[in-house]
Amino acid sequence: MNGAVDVPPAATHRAPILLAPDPGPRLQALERQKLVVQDLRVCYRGLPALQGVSFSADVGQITAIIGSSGCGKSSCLLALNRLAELVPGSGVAGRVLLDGVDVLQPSTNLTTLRRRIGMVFQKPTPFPLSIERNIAFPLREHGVRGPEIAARVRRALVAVGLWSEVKDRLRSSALALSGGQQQRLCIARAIALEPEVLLLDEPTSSLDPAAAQRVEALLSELKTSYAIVVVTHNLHQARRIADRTAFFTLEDGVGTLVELDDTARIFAGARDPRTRDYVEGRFG
Amino acid sequence: MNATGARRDAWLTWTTRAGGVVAGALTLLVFVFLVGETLPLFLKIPPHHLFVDARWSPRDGEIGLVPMMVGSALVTLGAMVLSTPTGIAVAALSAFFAPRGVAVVLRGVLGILAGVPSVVYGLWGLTVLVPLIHAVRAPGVSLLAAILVLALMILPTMALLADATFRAVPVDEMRAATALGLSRCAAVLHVALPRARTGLVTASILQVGRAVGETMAIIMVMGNTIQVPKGPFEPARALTSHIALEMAYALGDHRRGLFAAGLLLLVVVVGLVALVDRIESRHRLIA
Repeated sequence: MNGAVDVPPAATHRAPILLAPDPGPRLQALERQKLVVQDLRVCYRGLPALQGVSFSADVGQITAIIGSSGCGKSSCLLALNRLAELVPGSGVAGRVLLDGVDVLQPSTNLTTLRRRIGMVFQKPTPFPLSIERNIAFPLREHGVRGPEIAARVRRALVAVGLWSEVKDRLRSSALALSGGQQQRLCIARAIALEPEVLLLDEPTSSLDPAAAQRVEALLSELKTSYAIVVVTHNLHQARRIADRTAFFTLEDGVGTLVELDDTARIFAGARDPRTRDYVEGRFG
Repeated sequence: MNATGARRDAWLTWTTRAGGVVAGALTLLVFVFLVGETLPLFLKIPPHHLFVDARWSPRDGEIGLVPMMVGSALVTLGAMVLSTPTGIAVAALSAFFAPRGVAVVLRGVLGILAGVPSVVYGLWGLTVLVPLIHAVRAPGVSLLAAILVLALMILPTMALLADATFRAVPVDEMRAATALGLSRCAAVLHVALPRARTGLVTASILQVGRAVGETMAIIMVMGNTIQVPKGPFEPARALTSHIALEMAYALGDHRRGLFAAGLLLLVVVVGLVALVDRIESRHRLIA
């Protein structure tokens, strides 16, 4: 497994769909990507839940992960910032390279890793604190001090378009915000830590259409600064915002990546018949 | 099917209503009884006398409850100060830090400790704690001994209630905190504690009620001297102990004075319950 990057043929063998017929230059490009996932496998209590997942994500792109329920999309996301290991009996194998360094190594500093890879969940999870403290206290825990905190709180709220809505009530409870505002606060909380990768697990599925649209627009704005990976159930959403789309499916009860391509290709000319069936609504 | 369902509903409604009425009536009856027994005394001396007079000498017409009120207040305060933070800490340990197996064992042990009769805590206090305190300063039976025994007695229930409150903190929020790279400690301090605050406050207020009402364990280790204690090593007497110790031979105004003590305890407990109710309903409004 080690040396997959150094020895191109091996990597080609592992992820056939991902790589162009000539693996040489493509692999070098891959190496420069912000996040590279190689042969990721996740199991719970010894039972495989996800296997054979290889893909990459880079700054300037939104990568969408689509697929029916239970095909390991969320497990994949949770493995990338090592949240999956919070689940008792879980196991993660393979390689997750962040700037070329494997974060699955035991020596990885999890605090730093999770600062560099931010995550937003399906259900908005504002903390029972004021709007300001929701963003400020994680900053403080990460060693940010002084006026820099207020500056970052403001910058993050401006970035998610919340500043004008909440600037007069920064000290009131975040729980009083609407669902869409709460979700944007959660995104602000993540980007205030200045991460490099942003993972979002169905970020709009608990929001009303208008709020969902705002979050989508926000993600399109944010992609210039972050490598964004978003899991979504909503095919239209993937089509609207994603530059590249990965299709996951269940194979013999185990989730796997079928193909990853430019979003337009996935929806208009997917190579794999299973992908075509799924995006045309024949199953899932 | 529908008819029997409706009939069953009606049954249930009326049974629960009846239960509610009986419970309410009993409380009211206790209150009326206590007031009725105390009233003749209040007609003879102004009620506030009871609460400003520091002398208790019924034979000379001195019916002052102040020493016992101070005793009850101090022993309750001391026990709460010791047991509330400790109970919350133990609960945080079991809910957030201990491995699952350890937490299950810890919870089991707390459950057993919460069920130990108070007289057993008193026995332990009398045979272990009092001699230790005596070695530091005589007589041993003291306010301090009562505070320590009461704190220990209250701790398990406080920890169990706090643990239940902590475990009701949404997993999503704790996971979101972890996803931000926060340590477990930071997540507990900044996410779980604010989330659990209302539950912890109501749990500790309910514990105040238990502490104020505790009798047996306190009688055994507090010394029961009728005096306002000048320090933790001095013996003192609580309102509950006062009633238990004297009721058997009390007559006339003496007896009525003891009923007044009971009335005072009831009012305090009702006040605490009302406070809890208010906090909880306000919390529901916000949530």
